Amino acid sequence: MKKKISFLCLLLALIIPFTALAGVRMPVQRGAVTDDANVLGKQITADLTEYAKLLSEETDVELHVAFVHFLDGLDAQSYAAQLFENWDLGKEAVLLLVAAGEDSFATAMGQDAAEALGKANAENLMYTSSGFSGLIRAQQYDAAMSDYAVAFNELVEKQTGETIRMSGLFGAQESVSANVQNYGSQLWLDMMDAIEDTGVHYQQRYEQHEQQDNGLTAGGWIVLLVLVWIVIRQSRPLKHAPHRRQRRRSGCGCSPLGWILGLLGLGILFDKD
Amino acid sequence: MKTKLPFGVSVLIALVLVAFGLLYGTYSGYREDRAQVTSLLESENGLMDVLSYRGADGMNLRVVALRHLDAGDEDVLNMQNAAAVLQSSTAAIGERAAADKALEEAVLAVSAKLQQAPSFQQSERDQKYLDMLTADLNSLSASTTVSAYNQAAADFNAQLASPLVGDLAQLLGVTECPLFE
Repeated sequence: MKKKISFLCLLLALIIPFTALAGVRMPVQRGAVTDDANVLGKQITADLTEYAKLLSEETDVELHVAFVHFLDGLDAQSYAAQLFENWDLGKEAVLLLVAAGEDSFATAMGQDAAEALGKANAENLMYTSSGFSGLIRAQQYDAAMSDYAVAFNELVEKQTGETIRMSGLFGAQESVSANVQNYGSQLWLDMMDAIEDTGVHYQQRYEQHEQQDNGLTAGGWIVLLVLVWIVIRQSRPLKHAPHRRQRRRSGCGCSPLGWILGLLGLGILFDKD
Repeated sequence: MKTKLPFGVSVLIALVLVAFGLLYGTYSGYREDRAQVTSLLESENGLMDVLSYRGADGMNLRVVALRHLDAGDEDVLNMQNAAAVLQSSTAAIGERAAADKALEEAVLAVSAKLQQAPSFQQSERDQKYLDMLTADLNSLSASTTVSAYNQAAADFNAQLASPLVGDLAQLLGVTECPLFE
């Protein structure tokens, strides 16, 4: 039974499509661009994905982008650092995090990427080297990401000497605020489903457990009775007892074996399932 | 030569064995039952996680509220404090229950204030965020995990209060499960 429950728990953990850290919900990675806030257009998502692919092919740098609605009480830098760790990104990775509902953003990067691009240079991309921050605050996410990608590519070329052709990518993005139709979070919906599943799972597990007997199992009682029987059979006869009873208690000579088997049988007491 | 125990000693050993069986069986049974209830509280997606996520929603709503209300607003501060307790890893379940109620009240108060704020009325985005966050808060509080835990804890406590075996378990150090109320 315990094995079955452990297996169910493991299965549940595997199918839950997100990870949680001390009350902070983090999305599961969905490729180079993970847009849980659902604020990016299809074209910019495709362009970013293509650019990330070219970048990793031409250089030792990887680009990952994550959009969420909120940061669950963390600041953007801490959330980005935890997400970087959570996604198990490598030393060559750069993660750009944007919290659309908080108008905040941060970059986290691995050691090799920081050395290749310059940590301060890469962080400046969000502020001085592009119109990114202003466009994010204006909720013009597509244009913000387009600006960021162009600036990022210039930095990569400058720092690594590698040229990545961006022809056809990041065409003029409309400078309009994102018209977000769906303010739901897939992450939160998945979370609620998982919580409900867990509640139902526990309910079933609890009900199943309630049907089982508590205390000693039948096997446990049998072992105990056998032990008691062995002990009593071992005993010396009472002085005033008739001779007949003395003979009956003399045993078969297998008492030590009985003790050993009986004590080994105690194990049953410890295993309710 | 085979050694024999005196009859009285044999009976005593037998009684000790039976007593051990009773004590151990009672203790291990209750301990396992308690562990089942505790797992509803502390396991992944258990009650503690649900409360942490409610705290996280409180923190998220604070971000939205601060775009329209003063940072020193009493209800916003109450909401922030309650959310912090819910997200804390050290708060006891009683503290969390109180914080959860405080959060509920603060969210209602902050929502009412937001609805009155002219800047909020003009922000379609924040109106939608308020709807999104309050919906998530309500879903979390209505989740089966909360009711499942309270039911399991109440059943366990009733079992522990039963005469003889329950008393014995309490003597052996098994304690009641706190209810989330």
